[in-house]
Amino acid sequence: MDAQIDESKLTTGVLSPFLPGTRIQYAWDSTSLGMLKTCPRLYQYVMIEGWGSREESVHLRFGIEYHKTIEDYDKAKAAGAKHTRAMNEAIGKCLIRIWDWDPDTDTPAGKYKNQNTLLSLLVDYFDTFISDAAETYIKADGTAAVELSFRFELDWGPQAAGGELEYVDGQAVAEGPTPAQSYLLCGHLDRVVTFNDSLFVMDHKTSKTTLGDYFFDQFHPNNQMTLYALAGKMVIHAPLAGVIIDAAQILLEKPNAFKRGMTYRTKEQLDEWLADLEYWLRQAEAYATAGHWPMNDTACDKFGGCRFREVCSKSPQVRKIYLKSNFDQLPMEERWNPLKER
Amino acid sequence: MSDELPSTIDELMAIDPLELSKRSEAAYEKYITAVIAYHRNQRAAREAGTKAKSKTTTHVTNEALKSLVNKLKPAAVKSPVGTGIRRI
Repeated sequence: MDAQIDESKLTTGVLSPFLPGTRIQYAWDSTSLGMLKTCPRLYQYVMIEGWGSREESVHLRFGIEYHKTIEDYDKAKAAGAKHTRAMNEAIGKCLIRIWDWDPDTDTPAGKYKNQNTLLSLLVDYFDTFISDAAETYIKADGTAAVELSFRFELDWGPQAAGGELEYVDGQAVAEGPTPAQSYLLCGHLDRVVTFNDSLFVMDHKTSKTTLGDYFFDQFHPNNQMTLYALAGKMVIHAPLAGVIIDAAQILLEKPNAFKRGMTYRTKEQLDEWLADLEYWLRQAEAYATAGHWPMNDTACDKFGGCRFREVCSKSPQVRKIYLKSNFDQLPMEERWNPLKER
Repeated sequence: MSDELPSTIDELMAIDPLELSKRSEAAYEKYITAVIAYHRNQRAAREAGTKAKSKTTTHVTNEALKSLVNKLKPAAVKSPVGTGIRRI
């Protein structure tokens, strides 16, 4: 495979994703962009004000540990370890990390996501993919292409940073000098694999729902997968066939289930997504400048119901009280930051 | 210091793995193997249609754990990934 990872597109260090002294975000990942697209008020509560819930932290911790353990396994395998050795190493590290993790198993989140379900899912995952047809791509430096934090910049930036655009034949083109700060697109690629002689980005997902058509249909079109397809092309200097969604269903009574689906993006689809992005980011800057992020009240019931639905259902003058009673305002370093490396 | 493992999964999970790894590499390896064996055993029970017991009520005898540790069989290999993959 004639490909190489562009190390200059990989992330190092942590900065604020906002322009200094403003609420204008210049570094975006699929999570923050997804929130903006879903509901600007949701984006405000999470990204601007940093409200988080304990239940949310259970999902986040579970996801982090699941990803980290698979990453450790993939790295050990790529370094030459046999399945059992790699599995014991990865599970051992996981056991050390989660030893004092004790989510409340009486809550809906904790019932499905706790030490026991995590270990069960990981053991089943490793045993299921003991002979994995998707092989981890090995970078030029000999290390495994897993958990690649990427960032790349657009050739335009927030207007507040001098990133003016003009439109020629409907296409946006950067106007004037290079902006002081361009927009950055950031994220993490779980794994780059070769499968059937083609390169794919692989993304791990965990879910409580059945891994059928309904589950996989959500990834096409999909903000995150389109960004990953775009990033894959930028980070790997080779044609990228698409993204493999490596899905795991957490089951309490039956054996955990695993299924993989592939999603593709044409060059035209990627161009369209980038063109739309200009409008979304201009809109985000307008909200930040006005200090107002409107509520999209058609999205409140999406994805099993927004976590802020109860807050938004209250009259504006009492919402702060409900926010404070149901959520914690996280310190800056704990808030979601697209520039943070995993 | 004995490398004997406790008799229930709750007791097993109560062991501090970091401390154990510093104390005895062999005991730490055995501990990991026992945890993996427990979850394989649970999966086998689920596959057999047995309702999995909750974490707080599951009792794994010392003998069973030892047996699992000593007689670990290779994991059942399911269908290769290539056959289960599809285009969305």
